[in-house]
Amino acid sequence: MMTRRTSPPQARNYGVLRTVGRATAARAKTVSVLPAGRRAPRRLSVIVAAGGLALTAVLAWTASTANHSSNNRLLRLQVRQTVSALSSALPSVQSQLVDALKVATATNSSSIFKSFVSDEAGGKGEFTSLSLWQRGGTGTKLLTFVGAEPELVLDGAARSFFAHVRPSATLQVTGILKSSSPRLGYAEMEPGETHYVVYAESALPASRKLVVPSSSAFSDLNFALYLGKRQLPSQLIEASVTTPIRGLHAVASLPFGNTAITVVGTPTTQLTGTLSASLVWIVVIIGAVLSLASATTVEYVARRRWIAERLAEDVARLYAEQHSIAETLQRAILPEQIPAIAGMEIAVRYLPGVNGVDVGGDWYDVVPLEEGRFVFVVGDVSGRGVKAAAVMASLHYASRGFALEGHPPEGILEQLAKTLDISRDEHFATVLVGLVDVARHQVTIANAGHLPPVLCSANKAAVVPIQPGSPIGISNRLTVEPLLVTVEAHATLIAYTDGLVERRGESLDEGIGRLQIAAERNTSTLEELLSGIVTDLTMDAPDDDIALIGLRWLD
Amino acid sequence: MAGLDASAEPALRVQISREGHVPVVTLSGELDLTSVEEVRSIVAAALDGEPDRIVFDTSALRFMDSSGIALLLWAAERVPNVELRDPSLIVQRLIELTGLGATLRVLE
Repeated sequence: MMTRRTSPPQARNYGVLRTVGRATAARAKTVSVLPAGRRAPRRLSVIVAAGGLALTAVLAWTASTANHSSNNRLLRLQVRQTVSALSSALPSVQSQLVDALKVATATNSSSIFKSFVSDEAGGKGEFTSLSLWQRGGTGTKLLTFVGAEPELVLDGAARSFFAHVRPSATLQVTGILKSSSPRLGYAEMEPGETHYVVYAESALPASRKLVVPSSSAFSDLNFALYLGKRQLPSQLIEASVTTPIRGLHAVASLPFGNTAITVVGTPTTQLTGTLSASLVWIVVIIGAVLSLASATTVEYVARRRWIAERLAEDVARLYAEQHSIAETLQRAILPEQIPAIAGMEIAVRYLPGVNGVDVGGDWYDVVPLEEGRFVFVVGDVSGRGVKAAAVMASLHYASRGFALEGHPPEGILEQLAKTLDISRDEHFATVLVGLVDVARHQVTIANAGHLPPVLCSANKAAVVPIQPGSPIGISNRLTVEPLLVTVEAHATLIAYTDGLVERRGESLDEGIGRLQIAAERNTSTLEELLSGIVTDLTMDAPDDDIALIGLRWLD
Repeated sequence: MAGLDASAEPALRVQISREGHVPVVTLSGELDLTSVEEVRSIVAAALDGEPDRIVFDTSALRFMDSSGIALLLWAAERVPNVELRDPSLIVQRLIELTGLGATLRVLE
């Protein structure tokens, strides 16, 4: 290769790069299968979705709790308001009875009492039955009544009830009287009173169905009213809903005579309003949608990144593989063991450059012929990479073939020129070919644009003055002038590629001069000489590939 | 690589001028594998008018390797006459040693 690069040389990089490349290639078997690994990013998006949904659940629970608590508070408030409305209505019942009692006491006349209360019972009256009773030594007797006959009498429970009636400021309540039409009875006996007791009964609705008008302030509630402090089914006064009431409800009591009325309220709708009730679902839906959207986004981004990483790995792997292919190709073509030639010591070197992972197209070859002759070749294909290595391979084998066919060096080059065309192959090559006659100490050299070899005899190195023809690939009609060189005993001929002598800021002559100096050192073997040359000329590691061949006559 | 090193002076400067229809490519600095593709695309743009001659002024080129040779040969494929004007010694020796004196017309 005739190229140099501009970066500071780093001697070990090439080896490291190669190692990395191979490791990547080995690992690639497990990572390069994209479809199988497509599930990889799932975990993160699942975490995001789960987190979002958990947050949604917490928010929904909070909203639900808040709504529930508001609903409860409003319910209790409304039931209390109901109770207070009821309690303001109850005193009128008692005051009517008190008035009637006063009339009876003042007049001691059943008939006056009867006419006084005639409007209050039966028909349009408030009570179903209103009666006046007289307490005596033998018990309490019915004097007169208005409206229906007291159920208490029919029931036969009057004796036990009145036995408990005492003069009191409070109304004495019977409890619910069982009959075909249930009634509620109450007795009034003023403090200080000894004779008269006024007793009234009110009919309960037959089905005990309470109708709450929708215009009422309490139309949002269903009610059940019980006599007493407990919600006993037998003591149900009336209800606007099936009893017993289950689910959300509130209970409040108000005193009613010597007992109480218990109000149980349950909401018919959401007391807090539709929005508050829907808030939970709004939170759930929006939260779920946002969580899933976030998870989808995360999944998308993670997947893109993951795919990009996989692609980068694949690219790195392919790059490494490509390099590996080119290098393998080059190594396969370059013989490590060159043929032994009787009477000659031959040594070779190939040093890959440090730059990039592309390999170059440098090569050397030795082709033994009959009659103590052999051909050596050093060549350099322009450019780098697999293509350059492939061109190198074809030139390498072509030159070997032409040599074996018996072409002289210039003939080999002229034939090679017909195989390569820079306009078609995008590469050109410089090639030096020498035909050595060992016994005669003669070398016939032909040069297609290549750097001249250095000949070293008696510790004096000189550049072989071979005129270069144009490189292979420029024209298919190449003409090169061969040069016949006769060498002294123990002479050493060194041919090389430009990577050995090229240095930034120098002309090639200076590099060749350094090679001459390095070639003049005294070494016992050719191998040692080449090692010394490589060390001297590549103080810093070579940017470019270097191919080097040394030929030494043993006599 | 100098071509990628932003802190450093650009390794290579390329200037295109014209003398009549003839593009003149003035190169200074270092022409190597890292910079040659850029030059190639710049030169390709200058060949639009299908000139019959192109001049490379390489007097200020401090370094050129076979990538530069490849560039000149590439130009020679497209323009009948490729001239090297006032090449520096480094360039001149590279051309001579590569046996391209006949392919590329060197004007000193």
